[in-house]
Formats: sequence, structure tokens, C-alpha cells
Amino acid sequence: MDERLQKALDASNFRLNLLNTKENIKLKVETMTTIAVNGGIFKSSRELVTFTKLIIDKGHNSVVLLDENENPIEILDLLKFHNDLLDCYFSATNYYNTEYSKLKKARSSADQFSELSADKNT
Amino acid sequence: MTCGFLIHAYNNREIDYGSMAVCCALLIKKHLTVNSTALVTVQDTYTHMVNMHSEELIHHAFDHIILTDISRNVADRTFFDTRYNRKAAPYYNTNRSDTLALSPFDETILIDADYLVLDNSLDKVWGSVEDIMVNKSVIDLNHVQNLGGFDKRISLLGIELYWATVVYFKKTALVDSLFGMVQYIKDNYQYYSKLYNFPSSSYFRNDYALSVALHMINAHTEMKHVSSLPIQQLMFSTENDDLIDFVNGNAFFISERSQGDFRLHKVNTNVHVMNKWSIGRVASRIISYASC
Repeated sequence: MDERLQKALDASNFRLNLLNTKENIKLKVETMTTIAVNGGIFKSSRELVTFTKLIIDKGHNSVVLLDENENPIEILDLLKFHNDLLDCYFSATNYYNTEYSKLKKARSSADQFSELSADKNT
Repeated sequence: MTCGFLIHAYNNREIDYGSMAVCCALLIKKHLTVNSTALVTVQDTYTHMVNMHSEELIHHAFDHIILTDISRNVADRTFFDTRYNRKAAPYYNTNRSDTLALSPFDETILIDADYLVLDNSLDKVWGSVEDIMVNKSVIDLNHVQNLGGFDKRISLLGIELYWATVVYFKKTALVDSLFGMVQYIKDNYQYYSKLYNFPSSSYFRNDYALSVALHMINAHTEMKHVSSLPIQQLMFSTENDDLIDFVNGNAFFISERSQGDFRLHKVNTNVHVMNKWSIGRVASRIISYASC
């Protein structure tokens, strides 16, 4: 095979591995931003964080919100709910940042899957 | 209200479902806050599990052990171990319709023995306003959703396909009807395979029976009556994929979508592992991680 073609294919494979790993990290982030309240399931998004803050600023401490499955869920302690949303949002984005930084530094599949390499060497 | 997980495990001459169930239960204990587990099995599988892993470990993994009886008169199913090996073995996992009666919990997650719980998303379901939650969307290790149309509907023009891999339910009248319907479909499987036009292989497939039952109890409509679990997409590795190692809660797979096209994947979210042998090969590592 032509050397240039081989190089391009290797780079393409490596890039695909990177993209797959990024998707796996995003899936983990989705699990980290999911919270359950009063029988409903919510995802901590910028929109929900902002919306709850708006309602708190209007002087309310309870509200009915539609959850991920579009069920009406009564949030009795809105301030706590807002803080929980913020906590899990920041935990998730910090995790994403840490993992993404590692991914950006990876120059080969061996770097990318360093836990596996380390385990094999022990 | 009692909440917990229920796992069916029936060994056949090729596959050690008992060991898979131990891995599954210990990972539940490791990663989840609500982590009561119940095993439904038969005496010979239970004896094998004790011989393989010790009685102490089995009782650590399972809070309830329910011995039942199963029909041995079932057809063989072909199980793949990567692209390069396949074996036919009896598929005994056909009595999920008894789950409602067997479950010791008020709220239950029925979960496949070959499902690795690697995150805490299932902690979010308890106390739900829903009677039942089940996934209808799947992705493979390459994050591909469209797997030849098979993942969306039970046939090209058929109803939506729901995956019975993980099912949350409460003991309510609706759920009672649902499980009754699954039993009825099981008893008349050939008829329903023609009516709903799904591939009628020789063995009973839980996903099809559940999908038809959900369609029927929802007045034969596709209105959004059945909600998804907290993570809408069920991740799975195919029978062509190989679980090659398990390190600190990370599962490492090699997938091979076409021959020679190998990809390495690190997964640390819940994943359904269809290659049963590959779980067996790393079972000791999973158990070692999850039981400490």
C-alpha cells in the first residue's frame, strides 16, 4: 500500500477511536447530569438551571415542572432543586473537562487507553 | 416500599449464566445506593454457582434466592463468541412472564444477567410516577443507532421494538395485565409472530413478546404511553464484540463491525454484553473489583 494512504488510514482510525471515546464520555456526563425528584427524572441543563433561578428570583419556592417523560412533577423545595441541578452540572462538566484534556493529549491508541496498558504491564 | 433488582439465570450446557448473574449483582452492589438483589434460578444452576464461587459470595451478591422450575423442552439458539466461533445451546430464559409473581419487591428492575451496571443512573428510577419504564432506543459501541432498521421496529412495517434487557415496574393492575399478556403471547408465539410479522425463530424472544404486549395494553396504538429509563439509549456490545478486560470499573471491548476492522472501546456506563462467553473470560476480574 502507498505510504501516504497507509498514513491517512492510520490517522483516520485513530480519529475514529477518539470520537468514540468522546461519545462515551458524553454518555457518562449524561448519567451524571440526571437527577430524580419526587418521582420525576430531570436532566440538569443550562436552560433548566436558568429557568429555576428565574422562578426563585420571582419569589417562588415551589413549582410544577415537566420532567424528561413530560410528567408534571411538583418541586416543593425549589432552592434545593436548583442547587442540586448546579452541583451535578458542575460535577459533570468538570469530569468532561478532565477526560477531554486527557483525550486531547493522546497521540496514539496506547495513550488513549492508558489504564489498559498499565494493567497489562503490572 | 421495597425496591430491588431481579435477575434470571439458568445455565445451559455452554453458557454459565450463574456467573454472569453474580457479576451483574455485585456491580449493582458496588455502584448503586438502592441495591437489593433477587436471583431466580434452578437448583442445578445454583449448585454450580456455589461450587464455582462459594456460598458466602453468592449470599453477598443476592439478598433473595428464589428457586423455580423451568421447561427444559426449548429450542436451541445459536450464540456467537466474536465472528469466529459459534455454538448452539438451549435457551431457557423464557419465564420472564413469571417475574411479577416472583419478585419480592414492590418496585422492581428486571435486568438481564449479561448487563454490566457501571454507573448510577438506575438509582434515579425508584419512587417514579411511572408504572413501567423500558428502553426502545439502542446504540452499539460505535454509537450507531440504525442497525439495519432492526433496532427501531420488530419488522420493516412493524410496531416499535422495546428492549426487555432492563425493565422497571411497580406491582400495579396495569403491570399485572402486561405480564399476563406476555404469558399469553408466549403461549401463542407462532400466532403472534404471524400477526405482528416478526421473525419467528425457533426460540422465544422476550423483546418481541414485551413489545407486542405493550402495544396491546396501549390500545394498539403508538402513543407515548411507555416511558424510557433515565438514559434513553441502551448501550450494547454485539455478539461479534469481545469484552477483553475489566479494569477499575472500566470495561474494555474490541469491536469488529466488518472483518479485520478492529476498534478498542473503553466503557464506564451501563452496557449490555451480548457475547456471553466474553463475560465469562473476565468474570473473575469483575468479581474481584466489585466485591471489594
